[in-house]
Amino acid sequence: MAEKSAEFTRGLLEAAPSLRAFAISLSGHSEKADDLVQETLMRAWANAANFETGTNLKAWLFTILRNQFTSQYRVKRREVEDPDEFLASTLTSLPEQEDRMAMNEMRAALRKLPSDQREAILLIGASGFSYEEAAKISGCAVGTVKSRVNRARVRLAKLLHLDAEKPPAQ
Amino acid sequence: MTGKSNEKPFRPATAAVDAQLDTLIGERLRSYYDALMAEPVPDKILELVAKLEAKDRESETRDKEPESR
Repeated sequence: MAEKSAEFTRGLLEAAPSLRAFAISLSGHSEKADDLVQETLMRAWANAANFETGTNLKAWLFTILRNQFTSQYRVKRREVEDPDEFLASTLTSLPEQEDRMAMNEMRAALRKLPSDQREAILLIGASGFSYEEAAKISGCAVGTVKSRVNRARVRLAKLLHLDAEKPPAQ
Repeated sequence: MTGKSNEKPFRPATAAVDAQLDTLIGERLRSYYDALMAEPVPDKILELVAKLEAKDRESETRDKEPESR
């Protein structure tokens, strides 16, 4: 196989932190997330010829990771035991107790979302993709992404008790 | 909500509150995500890319060998 361009390799390394953040948020496990990222990178490497240079490498990688996750992990999701405190305690970037609590709260809330809504809000609200890109990654219509994101927001507001700040309708 | 059926719903006000809520959720989500992104990428992931590169180079040289006879 021909050698990959340095740009392609650099792109993989640059995307690694966001791929990992997405994988952690999807799977809820940092170890599983690392496996997912590794599988994604191997797949990307093996299929590099299918990547059109000049198109969005990050979106391409997210698509691979998302499909990988959907086929392998989503099925097993219910069996996975998942203590709530594991994540924040493994993060070195969060020295403040308050930050850790906010982190755990958000993680727990995300876990309670239906998987399609979680995926949509992570792509749009966190990973910085456009609705069109997210639709491509998730393999659905733009309108579907929009409604999933809206439902996810409503749900998250409730789960995080943010909707309590909303004044009652008069 | 009052019981009157002919009143206009207060759409503009509701939309403003919803927008505020969206902003708040957006901020929370991003700070959660930023913390994840700030984590160092584990060595095993970085090493994997290096390994894949090395493997490619190896097969590249192997492919070229017959020509160099």
